[in-house]
Amino acid sequence: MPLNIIIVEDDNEMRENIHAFLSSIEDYKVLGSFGSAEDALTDSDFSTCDILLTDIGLPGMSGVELIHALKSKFHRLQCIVLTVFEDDEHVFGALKAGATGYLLKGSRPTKLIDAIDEIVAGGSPMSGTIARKVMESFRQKENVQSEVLTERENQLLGHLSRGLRYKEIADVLGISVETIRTHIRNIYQKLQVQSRTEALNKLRGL
Amino acid sequence: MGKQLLIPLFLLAAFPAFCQKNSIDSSLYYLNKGDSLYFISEYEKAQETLIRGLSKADNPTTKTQLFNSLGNVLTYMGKKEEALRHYQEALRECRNSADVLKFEATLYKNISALYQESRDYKMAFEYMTKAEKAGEKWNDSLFRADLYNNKGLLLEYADSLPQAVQSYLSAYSIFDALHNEERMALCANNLGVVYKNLNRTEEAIYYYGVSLNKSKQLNNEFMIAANYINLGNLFTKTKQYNEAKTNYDQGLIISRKIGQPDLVRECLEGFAKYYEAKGDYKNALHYQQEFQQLSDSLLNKERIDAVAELETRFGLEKKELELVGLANEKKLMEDENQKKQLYILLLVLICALLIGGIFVGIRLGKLRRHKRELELVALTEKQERDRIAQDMHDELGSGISRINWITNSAQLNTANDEDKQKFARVESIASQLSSSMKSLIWLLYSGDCKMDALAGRIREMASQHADDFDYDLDFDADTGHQNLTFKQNAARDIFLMIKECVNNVSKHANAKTLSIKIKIEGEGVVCTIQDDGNGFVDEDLKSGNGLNNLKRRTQIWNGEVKIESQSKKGTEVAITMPLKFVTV
Repeated sequence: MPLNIIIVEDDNEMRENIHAFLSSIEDYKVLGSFGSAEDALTDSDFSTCDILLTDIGLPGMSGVELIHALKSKFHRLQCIVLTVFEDDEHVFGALKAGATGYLLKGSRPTKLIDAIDEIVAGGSPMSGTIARKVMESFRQKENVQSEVLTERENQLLGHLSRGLRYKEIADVLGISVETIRTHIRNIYQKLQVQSRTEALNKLRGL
Repeated sequence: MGKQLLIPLFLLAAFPAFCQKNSIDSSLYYLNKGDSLYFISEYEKAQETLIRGLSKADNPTTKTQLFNSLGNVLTYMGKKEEALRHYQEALRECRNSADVLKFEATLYKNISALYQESRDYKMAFEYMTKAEKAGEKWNDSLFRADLYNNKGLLLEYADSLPQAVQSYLSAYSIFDALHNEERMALCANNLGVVYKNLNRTEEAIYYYGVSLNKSKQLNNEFMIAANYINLGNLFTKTKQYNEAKTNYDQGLIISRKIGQPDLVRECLEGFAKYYEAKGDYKNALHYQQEFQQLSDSLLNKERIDAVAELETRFGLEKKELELVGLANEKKLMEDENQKKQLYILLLVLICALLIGGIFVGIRLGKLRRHKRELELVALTEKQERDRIAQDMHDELGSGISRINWITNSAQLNTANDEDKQKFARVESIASQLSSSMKSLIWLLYSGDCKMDALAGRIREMASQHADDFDYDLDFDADTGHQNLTFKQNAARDIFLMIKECVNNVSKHANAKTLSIKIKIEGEGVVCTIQDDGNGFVDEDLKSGNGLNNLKRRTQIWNGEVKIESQSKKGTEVAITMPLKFVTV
């Protein structure tokens, strides 16, 4: 069964190129590509979609809002954010909204395939700066959140923030790269739970 | 206490000109002319004219008025001692005149105002009380109101703000009853100031508004400008920056038109604060500097005036002492003479201390302002950097991404193998450019940088190279100093220098292993970049532009760079920089 992908990117040329590139890959099927989040929501069926690739800065509804809206309905949908640079705030916002990965537009296109494959395999890429931000975020909320990071997860983030790669961390911690992927996926999920609790707290006026 | 413009510091009453007699008495002519000159601020000419009048005057009324007018003129010329002497002459003279009550009351009030301006509040209150007593006998409502107004100012200086409000309100109601618009405008402004300092914003806005409207009716541009500025200051205080700016704008136009440096200066400072609050540090700095310049020139003038005043005062007192000394010469013993000398010596000492104090004060003020200016420069720089980073991000970044994707699709669409390779090469260059820019932007955005964050970035950058160019990376950063914080520029230079070395290894060395070590050794940070590649001979070393860059960058931080290279064995670059220069 092919992997179903939907693309949301407001730059026409970019969108067409990504569409063409992904269509050329065996096992991938691009269900549609859209210039805005609104178009994507009205004109496509996300229930059969596996991967959403979206830009963050879009006209009207942002990529982060799109992810937020979709993740509450389609739990198995995996979202990857496309961004020009590793803009901490936006990327982190997208991760909290439910993205499981992000990719720099300037990276080689083949890396996009690597990222998609990694996510399908149950992993999530995370860079040092994002790891640092995740750590900070959990440190601040430690007292009010029920979801906290395990010691292992903390160790992992620590190594990531010091610039170590998955393979190196696996060596240091004596675990497999696969286990690291699982840990990171868990961290991403806790991040989303955290943001949900945050929203709830706001609602109650806490 | 915030800045405030007390428009009239006090109401120095020039006596109404007694023209009604149409007298041919020349002293009266000089009195009128002198008063007119005083009103148009021609103080020196006024002084000259009034002195000429005194030489012709023969009746106590005219003499009193001439002495009083001279007192007013001298006050505005900053010659306070002389002014006081003339008021006292007037007091002596008025007792022989018919209008003794009026003259006494007015003179006491003027003397009180003079002391107030010299910041001798005790004496000012004393004369205020005298003026009140004399005023009761005279029973003139305008005078009473003026007195209330002046008393309000005095109370304000003594920090009795609620009483000051009461006093101003009493004055205001009398001015109102007398339909004296000008005084109402002045008094309303004073009320605005005191309400502002009492944090009663609504009342302050109301009274400033009244004062502004009345000043407009009277077409008094100084007061219009001052009121706009006062409103600006008020809105700045309440953080309503847009309203503040509107008022400063109006204030500045009029202040410049009427050439009032004090008012212009206030506006400039207001603008600086406005832009700072708006986060526009470039403009904030611009106005702060303009403000600074104007302040300096005004301060200089003030300083010259103050020194001149001290000199005159000293000269006067010395003369008086000498006179006393002469008169008593025969009766007084030598020790009396010694006392006199001691007194003079003391005076000289006090003068010296005062002058010294003024200079120290000015210096301290300058230092304070200089510090603020530096802060603004730093903020401006940061803002510029952020802007450049943003531009790079928006323009260059997406451009490179496009190149990446277009070459990728061209690659897919071509059957020609040579073209495919070329496209692959373009794609690889574009993605490298993109990752370089990523680092640069991080460096531009981030502030001072912790050792572990810097090491992490360097490691990420090097790992990327190791992957792309297929060599092993051995990375080691000192874990014992993770809380060391590098200055932003130093962190950037360290990162870029190591990146330069890593670039060289990737491009030229053909190495199997790259080792990067960042260690704290003694008082310095040592970065060692070592590879087991081709190495190079000294000739290449000299011509290499990149290596010159390394030297230049280390020199900025008083550091040094050592390069050792052996053909076929590899290269080692050691960069050492003193911690005291590169860390916070």
